[in-house]
Amino acid sequence: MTKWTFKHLLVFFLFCNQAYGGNANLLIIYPEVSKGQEQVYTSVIKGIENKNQQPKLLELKDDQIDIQQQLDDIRPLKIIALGKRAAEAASKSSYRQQTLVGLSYFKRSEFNGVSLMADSRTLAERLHQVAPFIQRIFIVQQTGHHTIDVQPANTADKPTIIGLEGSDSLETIRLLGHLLEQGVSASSDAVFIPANLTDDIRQQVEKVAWDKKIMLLSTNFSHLETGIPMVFYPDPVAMGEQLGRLAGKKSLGYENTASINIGLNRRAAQHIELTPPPQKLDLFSVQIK
Amino acid sequence: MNLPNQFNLQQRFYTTVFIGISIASILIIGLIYWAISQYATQYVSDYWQGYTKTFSDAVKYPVIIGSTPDALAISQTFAGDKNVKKTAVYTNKMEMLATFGKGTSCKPKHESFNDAFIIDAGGDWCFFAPITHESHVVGHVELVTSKSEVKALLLRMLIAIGLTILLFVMVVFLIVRQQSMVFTSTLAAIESVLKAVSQGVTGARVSFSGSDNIDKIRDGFNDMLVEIEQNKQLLDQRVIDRTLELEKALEGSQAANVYKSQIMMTITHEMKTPLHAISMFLQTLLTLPEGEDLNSLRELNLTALARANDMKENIDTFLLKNKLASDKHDLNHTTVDIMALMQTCAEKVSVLKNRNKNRLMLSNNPLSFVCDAELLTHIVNNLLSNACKFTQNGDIHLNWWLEHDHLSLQVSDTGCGISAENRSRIFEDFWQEDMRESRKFGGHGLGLYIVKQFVNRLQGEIVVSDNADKGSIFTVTLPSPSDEFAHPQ
Repeated sequence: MTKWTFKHLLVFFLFCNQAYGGNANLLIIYPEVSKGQEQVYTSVIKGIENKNQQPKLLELKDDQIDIQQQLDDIRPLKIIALGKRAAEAASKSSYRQQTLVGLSYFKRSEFNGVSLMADSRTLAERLHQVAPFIQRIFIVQQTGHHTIDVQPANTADKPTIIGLEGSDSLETIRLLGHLLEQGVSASSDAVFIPANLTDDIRQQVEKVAWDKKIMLLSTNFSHLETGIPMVFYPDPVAMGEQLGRLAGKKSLGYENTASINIGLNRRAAQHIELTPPPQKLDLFSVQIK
Repeated sequence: MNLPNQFNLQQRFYTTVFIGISIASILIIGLIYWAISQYATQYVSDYWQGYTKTFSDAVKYPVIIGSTPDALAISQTFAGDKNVKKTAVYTNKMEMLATFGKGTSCKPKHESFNDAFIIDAGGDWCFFAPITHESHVVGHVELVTSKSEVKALLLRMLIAIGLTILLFVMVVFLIVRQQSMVFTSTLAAIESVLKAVSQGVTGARVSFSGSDNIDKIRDGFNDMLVEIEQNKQLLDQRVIDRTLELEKALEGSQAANVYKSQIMMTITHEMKTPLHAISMFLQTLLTLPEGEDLNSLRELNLTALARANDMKENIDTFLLKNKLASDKHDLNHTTVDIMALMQTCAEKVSVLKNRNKNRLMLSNNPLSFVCDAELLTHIVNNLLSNACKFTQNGDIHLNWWLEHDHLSLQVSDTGCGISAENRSRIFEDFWQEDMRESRKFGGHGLGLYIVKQFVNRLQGEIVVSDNADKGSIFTVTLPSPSDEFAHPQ
């Protein structure tokens, strides 16, 4: 589907579900987004609608902060706020307790909803499906920039998860550097690099890993094109459905994104001798050469 | 070896053009070399700064993780350029992490810095660039490069530019030399004509032609020459005229001296003549024998007395001349019986008339006229006296009449007359037609001068003309005096 199709599909949903007043069961608040993000939001909304019939939609303007009046007019029973800006706007209103947040990284203590942070166990499980020879998974992150909720593996046949956290970007890079220099085995270890790694450092890291044939992993989809063999990213429709299902529950709660897609850079994977058999290629939602 | 002639116009032109082109060439070479060296230096410097920045970015990761082998490998890569003498990587604690090459290090002024900079170390450049990560300075790199290639390039360019411009200058100079006549022909023609003019040649002109400006120069120069020649001619004529005037003045001065001598001689003669006569008569009286007849004595005394009166008249005449010269004679107009006045005057000259056997005829025309009787008497006496003096055995007529309130009187004689060339001078003082000491007629030459002066005082005029047969006619015309003269206040 082209961007044009997604854009018009989003407009169609907006037209069909525009809230003009009255009591509503579910309200979806989403920000004005660029064309590149439209597809993601449309997919998430579509997933929500799969679980909730005719939710109302409210678009948050770029300079809009206070949405109390609009919420009072709609009087929704529950709100799904997509994106960080929508989450903050909803949390400042009197409807905070009825709000679920999606499409944003947050902790359990911050909001209810489905965080983009993936559960390390889910990641390990998905990785095990495509690369069963991986024994240890190193997750290097910077404090305040978590994209993976590191949890110890709960089964013996899954790879071991080892979380490493740097207090700032320099320390994070040093941790990653030392790990690549000394701490990993190319044949049985995989390393999740920080999602916020700057391009120049990432290129250096990729070079070192390329030279040593170390498997690098990332939760940033854009890293797939730069040479990371595999990236793990949420399935937007499934995330919408997860949000819709959570909104249907009586009590709101926190969940990590449950459905993880895998992208494959075939050339980089081939370099580290990762060649999934044909029957497993369906496990990859995206493959590039 | 021929030394340049400072007056040779063409040589001066060549020299000026050569010096001008040489100076311009040196300036152009210097300017071009300066601009190119500035540009090349800046370009190379910018290139190496960018190179150093790339080096610092490349070595960032090894510096952060403190990996000397990686830093050294990158340093070695960046030191691969032949102009790079040395590369070095330092941590933010100024500790050297890696270095490659043997170049001399430059010591930066500050131990920590946030911006890139260059140190010029004579034959080398030291480029420093900080290694930054998210606004944190984690170290810096040093890149030492040689200037030798840039200098060699600039030297080659300088030689190429110099040779090109030298060739250009030579071509320009040869063209100028070839075409120099076009530039200097005008001045050369002017110089040639000026030389001819300075040698006294007249009529020399320039004849070049060309653009409007050149034609204007030609016309202006030729006009100037014409004006100079005209002024010279005028000056020469003035010199000739002035010389003639001076010669005339000299001659006049000499003639005046002669004239003055003659006048003095005449006066002396006129004064001495009666004195001699008086002296002679007195001597005669002394030598007369006793008992001489009283009548004879009286006759001698009367004759001596007459000569004394003549002398007195002469002196009176001189005094009157001086009086007229000083303008001290006042008029006294009265109504005059003209006929009576004329008869009195005729009686006064009777002695002289009779001596020369002349006949005097007066017109019978009684009339009155307002006039100064003394001046009129003097005028008539003088004219009659002259007529009697210069006429021998002739006829003298004295006529008078009134015409339009003017009194005319006329004295005509049949004497020797006055030549045409002397007629204009007879009223000058001390002038006589014959001024020799041995002249036939005596006199002091003041009679007609005084007559003329008196006629002028009376607002009249006097003319002299030839008589029909011989002799002269003096005609005096006197106007009727105005009331102011008739009745002076």
